Amino acid sequence: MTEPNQEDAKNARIDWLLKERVGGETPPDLQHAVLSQLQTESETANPATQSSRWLAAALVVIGIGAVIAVSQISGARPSDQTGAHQDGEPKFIVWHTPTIVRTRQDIEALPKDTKQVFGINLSDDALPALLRLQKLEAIAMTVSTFEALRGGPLKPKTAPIFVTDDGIERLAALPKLQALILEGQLRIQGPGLVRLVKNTTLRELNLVSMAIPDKLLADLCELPLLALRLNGSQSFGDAGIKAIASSATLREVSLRGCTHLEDHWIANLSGMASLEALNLGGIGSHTIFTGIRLNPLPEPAPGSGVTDRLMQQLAPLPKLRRLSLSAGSVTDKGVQALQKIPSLRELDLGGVGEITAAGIDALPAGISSLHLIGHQQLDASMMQALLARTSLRDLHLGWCKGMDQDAIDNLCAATHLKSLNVAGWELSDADRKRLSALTTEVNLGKSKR
Amino acid sequence: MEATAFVRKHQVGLWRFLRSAGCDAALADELTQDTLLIALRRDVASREQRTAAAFLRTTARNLWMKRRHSDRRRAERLIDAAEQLWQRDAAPDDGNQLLDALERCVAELPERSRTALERSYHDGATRQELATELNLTEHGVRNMMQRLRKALRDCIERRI
Repeated sequence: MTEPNQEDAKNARIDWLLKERVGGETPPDLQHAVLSQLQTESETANPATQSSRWLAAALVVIGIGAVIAVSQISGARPSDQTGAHQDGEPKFIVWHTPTIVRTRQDIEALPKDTKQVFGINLSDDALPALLRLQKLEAIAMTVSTFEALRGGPLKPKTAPIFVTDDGIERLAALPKLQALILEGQLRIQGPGLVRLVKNTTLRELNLVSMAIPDKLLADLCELPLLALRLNGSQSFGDAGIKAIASSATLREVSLRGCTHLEDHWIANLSGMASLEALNLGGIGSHTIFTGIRLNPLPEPAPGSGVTDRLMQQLAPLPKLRRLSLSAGSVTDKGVQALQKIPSLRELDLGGVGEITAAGIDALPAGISSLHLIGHQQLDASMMQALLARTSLRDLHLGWCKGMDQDAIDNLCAATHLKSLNVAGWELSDADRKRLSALTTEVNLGKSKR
Repeated sequence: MEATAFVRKHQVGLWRFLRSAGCDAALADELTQDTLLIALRRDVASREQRTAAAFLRTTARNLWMKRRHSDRRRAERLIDAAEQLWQRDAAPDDGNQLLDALERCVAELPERSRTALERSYHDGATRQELATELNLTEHGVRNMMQRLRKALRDCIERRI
């Protein structure tokens, strides 16, 4: 059994590791300070004079400055890579836990039947090794913030390592490639990527935290892509959105976490007859994504974000089944516009705080899956409105607030639900038991009482 | 070994050793500098590398004890345990393998957890700010961070 003092030491150790690798803290370079001190100090045994401490403090300040500078050039933050369909047509890749590779040697050590690979800071030189994996279906290549922070002043900093168009074009020799995630890959300009998509079976493309010019979108959207997810990316504008809207094949588009969104862009997208899934989550004043800037891209103008005004532009989309407006600034008035999309089945309003019972009443009748995660006023009237929707099968109410006992009692009677998530609720043991009996798919979180 | 090479060789490991024993970053800077000065005055630089490293850690330990006079016994237990862990897992490469293991473990976390870690450790977000952003109570954030640290600790243990 571990001694208590060793537990404390392990806790201290994990704090150090996190502060250095995630927080960007770096060991100081004391070479100059120590040697200067050694030269000038007297024979006294006191090792630390006031001046040396000032020097140390100055070095700390310099070190902090270096850390901030590195963080600014270090590339993408980890971002949402969800969006893979698990049902319906088409079948998109479902990411399991892919093997992480960082070097050519890592790739060469992979079994030949590897289907998914997650590369961190891979260079062009490492990519040919992937061609041995002829069953490879999905590749992610991310530029790691943490890697770039490694080093500090004590050794040469590891500059972010990028792949280029020339490098990824070689992946065209992979016969089963279906999905590609490029995150923070700021050296990708377009031609190689376009040729890769053109010459392979690649149909899902995630360009995360990237600078994506309109021309690249125009070229990509002429190809038979099924899903295009531009999470947290920027640099595209009207022309790029028009190119997306003109695609005859795209079934899924994600602008999640993009810092710029204009109302009329949505008007353009509304012409997409084959679009089945649209992610506009994480855009707008409520989001925790907007405002966090770890990549070196220039700050774009904010645009309007997801608002009631934008919602008026959202139609018609005859095949749209899934829509995320999470963290948007949408009210009851805005969600009324969704009535123009009767095909809608799954709606994510997580973190959209202004929705009341009237807004729930106004949702399209066919919605079977609804996320209201983090709603702050889930009172009895709201619950009543939710449960009046007998088409609802999946209800995600995790970490909501404002529920009284009446609301909980109402929920306990909702026998039509197939899955329910109430994680983060403070429930009595009796209520937990009643909710558990509702369906086999109930997430109650951990007991708080 | 000449003085410049000696400082360059040992400063990172020494600083990380202090940090791993719970010493805050600014104090670790100062104590690392003081320790290196003492070692150079006593010509430890001419000793064999492992002996020199042991001397440096012992000296750093003693300097830290002086600063922790109010809770000296607790600090002593902590740094002794840290010394054991350091020798077991970190001494050969100054903790680089541990940092790599952490990175792999963090990469496997869900998005929400990574965001919480980054906001907390990188951006310095307070527990209150995190609670608002993650739709949790402050207590919930504390629990979440405790769970994350525990999970990362276990993950690192498995990987080294």
